[in-house]
Amino acid sequence: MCLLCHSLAGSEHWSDARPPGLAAGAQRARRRRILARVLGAHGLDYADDPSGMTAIVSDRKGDVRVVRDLGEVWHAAAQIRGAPLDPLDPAFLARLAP
Amino acid sequence: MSAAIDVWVLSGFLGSGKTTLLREQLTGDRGTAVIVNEFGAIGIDHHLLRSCEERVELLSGGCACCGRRADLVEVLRALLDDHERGRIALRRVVLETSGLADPAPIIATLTTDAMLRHHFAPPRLTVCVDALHGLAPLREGGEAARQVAIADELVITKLDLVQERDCAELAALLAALNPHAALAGARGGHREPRAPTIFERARRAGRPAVAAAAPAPGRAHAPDLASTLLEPGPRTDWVGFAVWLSMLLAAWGERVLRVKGLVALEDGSVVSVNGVQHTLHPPEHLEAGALAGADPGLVLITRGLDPDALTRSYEAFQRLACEEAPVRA
Repeated sequence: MCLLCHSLAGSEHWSDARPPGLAAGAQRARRRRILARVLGAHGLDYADDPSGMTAIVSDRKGDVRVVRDLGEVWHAAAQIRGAPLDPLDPAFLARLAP
Repeated sequence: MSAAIDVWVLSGFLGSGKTTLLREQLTGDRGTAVIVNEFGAIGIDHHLLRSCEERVELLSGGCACCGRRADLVEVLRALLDDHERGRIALRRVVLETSGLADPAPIIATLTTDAMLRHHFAPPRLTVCVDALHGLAPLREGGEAARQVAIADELVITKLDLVQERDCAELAALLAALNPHAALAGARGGHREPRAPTIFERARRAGRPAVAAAAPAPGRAHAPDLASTLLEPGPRTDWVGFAVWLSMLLAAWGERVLRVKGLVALEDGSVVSVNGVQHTLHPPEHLEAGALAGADPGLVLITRGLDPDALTRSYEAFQRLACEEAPVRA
């Protein structure tokens, strides 16, 4: 348990596993940048805290959800938008391109 | 912690020879516990097996996947407790599912339970396919096809009752449903290490880079099931891959029946990915060189998803990952 926020450490999500050469901080930074693009293409924002224990998914109208892993990111995004985010959606993939 | 206990899930449609195969496999075996989930009020298989096993637990009154998962957890925890107290020396657990059971939730139960997953290895799923009567339920595309699609291994049973030349359609259908499962045969209940040539040949013929389970002209088939082989290349970005796969499973997990393969990462290491529907076993990151002799690539067996759309989506996420986190030179 985190003594500051009283959050219980949950079981590790499969995506938190790291290759031997990838530091936790570097993994988190890459994830932050990629998720910012993916969620941004759906009108959502993503920010994580320095501890890496939690992150926030939000929209621009003030709906904010705290998440702990990638699985919760998609769940929170679907709750905010009212529908799952579809990685196969051609319109989304077009928005993802630079 | 002691070594993880192996788990073998034995599945297959009604009458496909599961119990016969299991009985032969367990003859003379020590250290294996068998959990039988027999659909119906009378567990005949339970009585058949009891004479040749150390310990049999019967989950009666429903399928393990739909109504008795809590019992399954309880049984496994009880076995583990006996093992750790020294009452039994447990090396392996075999779970024989009902012929109507979907193995996916069983595997999910084993993988997600906070206690069990630390003591039991990721389960290996063997599915028996009846060479004599197996074609009809597979053609219908229901539970039988689903079981085949997510299997690690297919055992073609009752080969003593058919001619090999009569198995051409079954072989083609199995190759379309799951071209990447290991193949074995069983003749008169005796397991053989290899399936007949016609099955091996069909699999080799039906294993293109992207193989949809398209129907042969004039033949029934398993609707909507497709096998997609993604060939990620030698420098996959792990974070981009994880974001993509987690998003895909969140949106379409019920249609992604199976994910399995080896992916080479940008730092030269290799990650082994293995999952059933929403549930992914913890990916195993291996050292560089682990890919030697193995086929790289990720197989997705899906229902009602377009293989080309999967490939386009995967490639878009890898491009995004490269833009946001360029690979090291």
